[in-house]
Amino acid sequence: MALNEHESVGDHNVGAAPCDGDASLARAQLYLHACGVPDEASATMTRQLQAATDPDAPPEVRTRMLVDRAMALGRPALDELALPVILPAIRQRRPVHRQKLGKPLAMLRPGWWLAPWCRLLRRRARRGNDD
Amino acid sequence: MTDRRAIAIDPSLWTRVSLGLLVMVTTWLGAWMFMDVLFSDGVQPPDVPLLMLFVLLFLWIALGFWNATLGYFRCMAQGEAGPVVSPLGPEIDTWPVTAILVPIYNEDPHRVMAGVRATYESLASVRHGDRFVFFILSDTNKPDCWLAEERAWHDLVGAMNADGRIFYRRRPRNLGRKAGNIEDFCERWGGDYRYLIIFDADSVMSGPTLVEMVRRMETDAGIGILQAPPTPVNQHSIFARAQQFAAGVYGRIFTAGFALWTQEDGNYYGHNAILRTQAFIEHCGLPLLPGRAPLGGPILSHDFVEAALMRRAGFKVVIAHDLSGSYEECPATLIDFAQRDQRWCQGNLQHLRVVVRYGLHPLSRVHLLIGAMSYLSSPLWLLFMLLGVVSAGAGHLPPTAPLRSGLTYLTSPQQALLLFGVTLLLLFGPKLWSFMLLWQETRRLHALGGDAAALWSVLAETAISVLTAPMLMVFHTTFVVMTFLGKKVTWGPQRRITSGIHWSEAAKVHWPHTLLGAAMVAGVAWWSPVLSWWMSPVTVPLLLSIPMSVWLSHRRLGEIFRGWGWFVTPEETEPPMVLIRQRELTAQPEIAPACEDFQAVLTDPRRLSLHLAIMRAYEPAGFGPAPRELLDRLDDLSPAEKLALLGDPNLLTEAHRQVWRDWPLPRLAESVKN
Repeated sequence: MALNEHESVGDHNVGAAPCDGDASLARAQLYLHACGVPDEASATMTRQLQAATDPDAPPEVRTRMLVDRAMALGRPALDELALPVILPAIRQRRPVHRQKLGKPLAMLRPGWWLAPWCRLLRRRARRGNDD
Repeated sequence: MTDRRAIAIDPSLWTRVSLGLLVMVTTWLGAWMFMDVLFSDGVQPPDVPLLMLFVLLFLWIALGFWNATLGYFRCMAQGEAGPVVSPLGPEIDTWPVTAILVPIYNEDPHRVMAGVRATYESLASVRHGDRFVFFILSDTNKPDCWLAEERAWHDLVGAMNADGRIFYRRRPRNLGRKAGNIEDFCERWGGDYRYLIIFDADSVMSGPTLVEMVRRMETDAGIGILQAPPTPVNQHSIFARAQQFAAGVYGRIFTAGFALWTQEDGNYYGHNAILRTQAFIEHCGLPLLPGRAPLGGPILSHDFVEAALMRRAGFKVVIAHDLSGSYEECPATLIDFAQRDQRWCQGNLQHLRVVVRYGLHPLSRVHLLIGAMSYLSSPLWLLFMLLGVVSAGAGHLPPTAPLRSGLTYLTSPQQALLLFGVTLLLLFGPKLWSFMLLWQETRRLHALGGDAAALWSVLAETAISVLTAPMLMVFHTTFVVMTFLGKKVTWGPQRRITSGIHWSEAAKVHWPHTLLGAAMVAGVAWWSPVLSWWMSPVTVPLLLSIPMSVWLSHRRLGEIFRGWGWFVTPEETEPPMVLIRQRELTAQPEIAPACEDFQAVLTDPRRLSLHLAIMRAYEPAGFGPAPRELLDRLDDLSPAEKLALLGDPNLLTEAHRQVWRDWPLPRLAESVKN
């Protein structure tokens, strides 16, 4: 989405530093505000940004430069954000032991059912021979 | 500490032998009567399969009946002492820190956090409550849901000042579903916690119950899993409220009976249970089943198998039937109920491959078989009915020849009626026992809305269960056939709250049932008109399945029933503090973000910072690179592309930079105004 150079910035002046209709500067200032930089510090930083950038640079270049610098300036505020402890440190990895299933029960095999009958038949056959 | 070797001596052998004998004798008597009726005109072709099906089904309902009867006598003996809700046993010297795991998958974060917060607050009000930490373990794969979870967790920790007590992590890949989620936790952090308490997304447990569970684990080192039976709560539709009522009234004697004959060879339901971490890590890693899905591959219904493995390792698995303060939510509609059953059906049928392996405890095999039979009984029942109709239509039933059993003074139709009466007793006896038990417990009866309301509720619940049984039979039969044909099921999150289902949705799901009902009516009328009335309890509900499904799922109708005092449960009339709090928190309107969560993460540096911190806490290297062309159409990304972008910290940071350079200032200001 292209930068809208004619966007109104008057409503988006945040903090103490006036942006004087400078859309790029207002954007950088809003970014600092979004990072949680206090108003006073934000005003100082905005003035620094204003002083450090070339007012005659093309708007795209100027916006890019200001946003990049605002991101760098806002970083400490973000780092200081009171984020809760997300996860405790991993002291030691404990791999879960993948278990092995036992062998299928013997009774599921045909031999388990047939063997006694075979034995019986063999015995009878032997007895018949003996007789 | 209990010597683990002591469990080799089974203290409940007599109970099991008695139960087994009662079930066998009942089945034998039923089969004997059925055989008399069946074979009185000689053995016909459908008779032998009919008898085999009868024996299986009769055995199944006899087991349920005698289990409930044992439970009834146990509850009678215990009287109205009430469940244990506070530590009664010896004090523990050093309380271990216990991890409460809340695995979630595309759930409503607002509801999940309400349950976590209610439990957290309940723990804060009891001694040793500070010895618990929560882990919200997300497997969510919908980008907006993922980001909403992060926001809800962050807000919860802030609101409860619970830094370092409630943790959040999301896995980028949903490997192994819920079991894999817990396994991942065990590998990383399991070693730090002696016990794990497993929650479902809808679980709520009271602080005293949680403390008591840890105390029991500490006093008996032989327990590997202690299951607190969850009570279903918080639903509004007639269908769900009838389930809640049934679980609250009849479930009690079933659980008491089950706990009596299983003792330390009990089962695990996958949530609202405490596990001994070390034993779980060492002995409960799920095996891969041989063969291909759906019957092979990864085990879906992990809980029963984990219980069997824990038992195989010599640890006890105990059902704490006397513990209250354990809650869950049941499906709100018949369709959701069936959808859940579809998942469970496939998982439980997989257990048939486990049950036949060496090394398992016999009772573990029984649990696995019971789980499978819960679904297999439906096709067996359908087959039995169809064969019965065929046999009767062919003139084999009812018989006219003399009877051969000891009941020769009865005519064959009389004996058939006697068998019918016995079957009804087996089916409805447990409801009767539960109601009789209620009459002896005035406080409980009062909590159920009084004697008249309780009586009407029992009658209405019985009617609903009779009316829905044929539909569930057809559902289950379909699921079983699909599973055996190799069709896999997809696992989605359960729809936990609804105002009802639309007629079109009901018609889409139930038209085969209606068609089957019509076919059965026509078929029976043509084949054996005399059976039309006998078959009507099955055919009429099938014919009316669409309107019944809509009406039973209707929230407003459920509330009208509640106004009459029907299906009221003690958790509604005398709600425990933890449930009161959970309902309050759930009812509170969610603080809506200024824009959708994805846009918020793109624009708001604090949201981005939180998101990146959460990702790096789990996988410091990031989740994986996403294609750069996503940056060209940040406003038009598909859910999969959003997931990819959110999983790439570098590209996401670049996207953040890009929107701050390119997006209109008013849009940015709107996004970050909170």
